[in-house]
Amino acid sequence: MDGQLNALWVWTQTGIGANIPPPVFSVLSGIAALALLLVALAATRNMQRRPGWLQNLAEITYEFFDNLAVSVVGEHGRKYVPLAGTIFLFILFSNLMGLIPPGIAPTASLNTTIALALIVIVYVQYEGIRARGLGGYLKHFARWGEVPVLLSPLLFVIEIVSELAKPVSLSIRLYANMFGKEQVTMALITALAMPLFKATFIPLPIQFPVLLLGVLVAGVQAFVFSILTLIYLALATEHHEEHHGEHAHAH
Amino acid sequence: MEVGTGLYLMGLALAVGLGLPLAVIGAGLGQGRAVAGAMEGMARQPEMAGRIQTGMIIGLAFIESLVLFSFVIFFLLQGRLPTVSGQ
Amino acid sequence: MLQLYPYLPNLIGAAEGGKGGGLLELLGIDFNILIIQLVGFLVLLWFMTRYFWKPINAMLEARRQDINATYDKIEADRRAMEQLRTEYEARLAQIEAEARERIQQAVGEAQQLRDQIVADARRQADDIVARAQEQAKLESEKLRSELQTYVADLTLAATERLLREAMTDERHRRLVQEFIETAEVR
Repeated sequence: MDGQLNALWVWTQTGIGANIPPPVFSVLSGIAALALLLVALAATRNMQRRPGWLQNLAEITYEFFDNLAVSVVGEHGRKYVPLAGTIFLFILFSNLMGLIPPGIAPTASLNTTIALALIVIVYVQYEGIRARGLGGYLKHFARWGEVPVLLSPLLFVIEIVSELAKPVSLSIRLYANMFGKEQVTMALITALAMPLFKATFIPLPIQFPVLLLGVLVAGVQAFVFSILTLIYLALATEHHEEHHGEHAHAH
Repeated sequence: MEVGTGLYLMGLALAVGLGLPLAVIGAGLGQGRAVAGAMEGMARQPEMAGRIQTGMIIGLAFIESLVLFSFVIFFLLQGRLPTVSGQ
Repeated sequence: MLQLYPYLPNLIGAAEGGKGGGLLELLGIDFNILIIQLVGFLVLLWFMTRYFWKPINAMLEARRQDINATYDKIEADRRAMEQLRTEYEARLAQIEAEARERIQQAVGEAQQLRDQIVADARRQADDIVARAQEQAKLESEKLRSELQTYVADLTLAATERLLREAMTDERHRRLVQEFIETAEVR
């Protein structure tokens, strides 16, 4: 117990996860994925017309993402439900893992979040090319026909940069939220709760408010990641340009 | 210790100490404005409350992510500070 | 001058040659782990799509169709019932009308019968009256003829008495007159 706490203490003090070897996060996210898969299989095994609570929960989740995808992307957004939903559930499970004492959230490592962001952004480009064709895809970057011709090259560069900023902001937002939560929790434990316990033998959970906040953050960040995925997909595949101002530069 | 290095370390300490609070001040004001606007919208149109709330949460996450960027920078810079133990 | 280089994070960790404190290493980014996480998530995505999202979608779709079918059936049943009801109502109205007509007919027949009976009775009464009148007439005629015969007899008798008593012409005449006056009875 003390050894583990010491390792975590070193981790919080030296920052950015260098002291917890990255493979640990890999194993942790594997556990999160397995837990998610088991719950998913339990929900869909032996499905009935009159659903039990778990099947009901799964159906509510599906309906929620179905409505979200249709309202954000449009009628052709239904096919993005599995991606957005899986991202949400995986991130939610990962984040919640950090709240169970021996665990650390796998999303508190940039390796995990960058992998997710890369998948999202590559898929967004793929869908963009598929929806508009390669020429249309490049024209969309240059805002061809929307702005004066001379401005197009400049906009092209700006759009490329903003497109590259998307995965960076996606991954760092999630990572920093979870990492920050872990840091504050560990700081409160090691700097306040532990000395108090050693001096007076009162196990006062000073970090508890942060854990409550952590539950909220876990849900909100998972939701933000998946809705941003949908918004990026909507921007890349929308057919009419007039809605553009609505979500433009959403990062 | 050279003077230049001392200056650099002083600047670094100031950046580590003040960078994140400054970002928090700005983001706090921004989030306050965003929530105020969203609440006003919800009060005026309670039937739109769900959509406004979704938008508000997304907006808050964007604002918050700016603080978190500076939080990451804070940790990068903090790792650059020399330890002071035993001197 | 300032030697800033050792303090600035190197953007590419590999350029320093491994454990050089590059940005990527400082951030704990390890490309091998990154690839593993990436592949791991793709596998998770595949499994979730195959065993979670698609079955639920199928389930919801099946239920939607089920509900649609049920509603359609209810609608059809309702329409059939409505039709049946209108039919019954029409038939009921028809039966009622028929009954009324029949009663009307019966009433008409009764009226007719009554009229006939009344007419018969009247005719019979008329007959009786007529016959009575005729009888009376006959009776009176018979009486008159009897009376006439009687008057003639009387006259004959009176004449005989007159002749027997030899009365004057004057007195004779007066007597005849008297007699006639008395005989003017009906």
